Amino acid sequence: MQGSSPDYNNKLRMLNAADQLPTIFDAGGDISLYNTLKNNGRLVNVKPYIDADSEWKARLEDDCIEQFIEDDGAIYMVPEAAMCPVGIFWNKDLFAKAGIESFPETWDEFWQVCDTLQAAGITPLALQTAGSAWTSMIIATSYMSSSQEGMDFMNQNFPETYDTPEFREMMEVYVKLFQYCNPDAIGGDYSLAQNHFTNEEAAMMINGAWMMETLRDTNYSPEGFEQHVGFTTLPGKTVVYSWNQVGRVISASATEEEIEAAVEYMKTLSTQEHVIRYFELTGGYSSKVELPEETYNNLMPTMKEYADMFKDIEHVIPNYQTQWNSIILNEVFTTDLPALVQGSIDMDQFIQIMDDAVRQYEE
Amino acid sequence: MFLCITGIVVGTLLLTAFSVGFVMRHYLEESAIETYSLSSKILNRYVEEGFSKIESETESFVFDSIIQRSLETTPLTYLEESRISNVWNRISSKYVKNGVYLDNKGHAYIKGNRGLTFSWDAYEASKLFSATQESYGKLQWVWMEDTIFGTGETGIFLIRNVRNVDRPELSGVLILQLNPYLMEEAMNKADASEHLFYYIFDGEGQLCYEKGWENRDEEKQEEQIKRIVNVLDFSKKSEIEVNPVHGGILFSCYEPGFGLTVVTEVPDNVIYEMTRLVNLTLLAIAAVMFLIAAAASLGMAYHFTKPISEISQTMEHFDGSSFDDKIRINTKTELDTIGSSYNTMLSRMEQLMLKVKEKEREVWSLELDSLYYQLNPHFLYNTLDNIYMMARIAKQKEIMNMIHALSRLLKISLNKGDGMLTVEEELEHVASYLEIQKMRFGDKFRYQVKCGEDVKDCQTMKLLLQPIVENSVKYGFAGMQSEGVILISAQMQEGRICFSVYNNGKSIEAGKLQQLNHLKQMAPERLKESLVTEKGGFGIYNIVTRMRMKYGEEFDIVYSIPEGGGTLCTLYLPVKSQKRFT
Repeated sequence: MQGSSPDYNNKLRMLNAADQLPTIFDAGGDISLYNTLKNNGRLVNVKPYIDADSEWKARLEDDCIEQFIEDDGAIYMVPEAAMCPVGIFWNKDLFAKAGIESFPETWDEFWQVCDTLQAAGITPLALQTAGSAWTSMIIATSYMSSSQEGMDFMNQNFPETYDTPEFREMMEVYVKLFQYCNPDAIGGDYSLAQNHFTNEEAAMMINGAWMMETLRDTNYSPEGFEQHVGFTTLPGKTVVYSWNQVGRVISASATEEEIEAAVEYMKTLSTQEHVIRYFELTGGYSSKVELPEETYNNLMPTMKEYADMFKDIEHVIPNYQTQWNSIILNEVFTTDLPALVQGSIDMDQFIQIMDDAVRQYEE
Repeated sequence: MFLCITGIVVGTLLLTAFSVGFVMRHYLEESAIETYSLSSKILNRYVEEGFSKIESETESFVFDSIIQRSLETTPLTYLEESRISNVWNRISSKYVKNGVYLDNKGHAYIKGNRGLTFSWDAYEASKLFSATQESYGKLQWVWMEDTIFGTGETGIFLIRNVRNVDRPELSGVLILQLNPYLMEEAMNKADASEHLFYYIFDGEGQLCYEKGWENRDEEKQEEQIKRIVNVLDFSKKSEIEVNPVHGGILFSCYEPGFGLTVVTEVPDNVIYEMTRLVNLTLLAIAAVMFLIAAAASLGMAYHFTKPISEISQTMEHFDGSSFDDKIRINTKTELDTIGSSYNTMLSRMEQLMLKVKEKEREVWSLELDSLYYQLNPHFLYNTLDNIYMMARIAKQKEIMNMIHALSRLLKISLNKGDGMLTVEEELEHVASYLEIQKMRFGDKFRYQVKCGEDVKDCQTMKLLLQPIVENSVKYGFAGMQSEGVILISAQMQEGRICFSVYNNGKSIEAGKLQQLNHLKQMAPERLKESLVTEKGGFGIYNIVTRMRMKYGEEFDIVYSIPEGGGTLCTLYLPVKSQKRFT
């Protein structure tokens, strides 16, 4: 099982309460759920398995292993061999119509481009707020991380308060984003944002390489659409990725045989053959595996840009979904974030709601 | 014969019954394993289905909002507590006899029956309490005596931890005491047979349910259950296990829901019911076939033994005196040929006997003649001696010579009874004969006898030359008064004895010459017919017949007319042996 939607995570909570968790599943989409499972002894410590297989360990990303080591020395999330960072898709034709030849490299340039596009009658951004506000919050948190203070805030796991100047500024930028998006973004879900972008109704969209196939799928996109879509870092050569956003874990209720099988499965995912295939399908990138020239040449243009992007990345900032609690992600963002954007509540109220959610979660 | 045929038939039937029985037994065992494995799986599925239903109902109970609320840190209000009784409706009463929900604040909410009490102490001392420590949230099965509700009944209890969905560390406990309906429902759905036995064991081999032993011997039941427990391995979690047990076969399935082992015991009499029917049918067929075989054997035996007995009796009674006792049978089988052949043989034997008797008479007559011949020479020699003496007294020298020649002639003719003599003796005999003839015919002819040194001692048949010489005198010199010449010689020629008799008289006629030169090729009857009637023919017939009997095909007789005329007869005989010095 893999996913990060609230429904998926709620289902996992139900399965856990009924002691019917799958043997291997993705717990990275909801870090609070992960913590609950971890703290209740519901996950298998995979460190002994990793230590017992040096070949497997060598294939895994060292950063990932380091990040997954818990305070008690255990590793519950199975470390990955490849990452799928989030960047930005941009429609080169729409940019060209607005007279823009390249993607902005700084945030100032970014806002100028948004203005230029809008002035040309083109919606700059495909956004949504439902389902943890993925496409919009990534931009805002990236902007916040461009300052050291903002980066420090983002590196906090489950901040105790959101009443900080960095977060306030970030939320003001967040509200500003909705000046440049489709009018139905508030309350809209992810698929709505994707449809605007693939239907050439918006010039930019935040996402990972897993959206590549949609670009050449004529069920979603016009014929040849993938030929004029680019992929690049967010301004400041920044991408968003947290190793624990995938976060595959193994259920402690599984039998010994099932656990062994799950470990073997994870080992298979780290092989060179699989990593290359993983890259071709969803953009899983490993610093330890060189992409064969033939594979690179067969990639669609957008995917080639994605592959080239890794040379230019200067900052990888954490995914906010892995840093903030589930009440914020699932409840506050669903109801109060649109209210803030629409002006139903002001910034102070929103900050208060955020902090209340922190308290509620702690209880 | 009858016993033999019957034995073969019965043996064949027994072999067939054994073979069919063996094959059937093997087939039925395989068929039973297949059939009852399937039915055991089906029964197991129904037990599992019952488990799934209860599990689903308990899940529904666990996720009910008021139950989840009851686990939160703040206690339930009175109104909320009252709602819990409604949540019990989520648990079907047909399976559950009693139930209790324990929240995490020390409250026990009992299902339905208001008179029922719950003992926390009994609960904490029971296997139920330890079961909650073993599983995080799965529904578990416990077989125990009821101490928590105080009924004292032994039965099935289900228990599971009730976890708060968002904060699973907050948990309560749900306990259900089942009634037997779940098992009975599974039995009914699986169409359980009244001829089989069913058992359900928990993971420790504790019997939790049985069906099939109602109204039967309890001691036997206990013994059988002990055997079954010994046979089964309750740690195995396979879908189906087949094990032999005393009196039948066990089919056991691990039921993953409860962790139970559902066992079906199929008794031998059920498995081999078909074999029994087949065996009875085979026996009936065997009996019928035996009767048919017996009747057929008797009929066949009568059909064959009667003529055989007649043949046997006829043969046994034959003593060689009567050839009229023929076999008269008509079976339209090969026995008729045997009878016919016997009758033919009898006729031929009769003819042969007649011939033998005739020959015996001939032999007897010849022997009699021989005796006469043996008597006569003595008388004849004595008489000739008397005549010789009288001639000598009368000084009749010619008579004396004649009698002397005759005496020599007779001596060879009559005294050499074995029919063989030397060539020299044969020539002497023929010379005696010619000497007598010469006295009779005076100067009508002269003769000369020559004998080679290498041939004189060879054995030859006696009296071969005399008939030839006699023919020369009688017929060759017919019409001649003098100047007749007879030349007789014996010599070895190409390994054979060669006798030649030449006379210068009248040459033999060309037709007769040809006839005489083909005597050897003639059949005996034809030889007799062609020679006996001719002049001098009997003598030739006599010597040719004798030479055939003695030499077979190894002799030749050749008549020819030399250039100066006359007749030359040449005999060629094989060299048998030298003169006997006895």
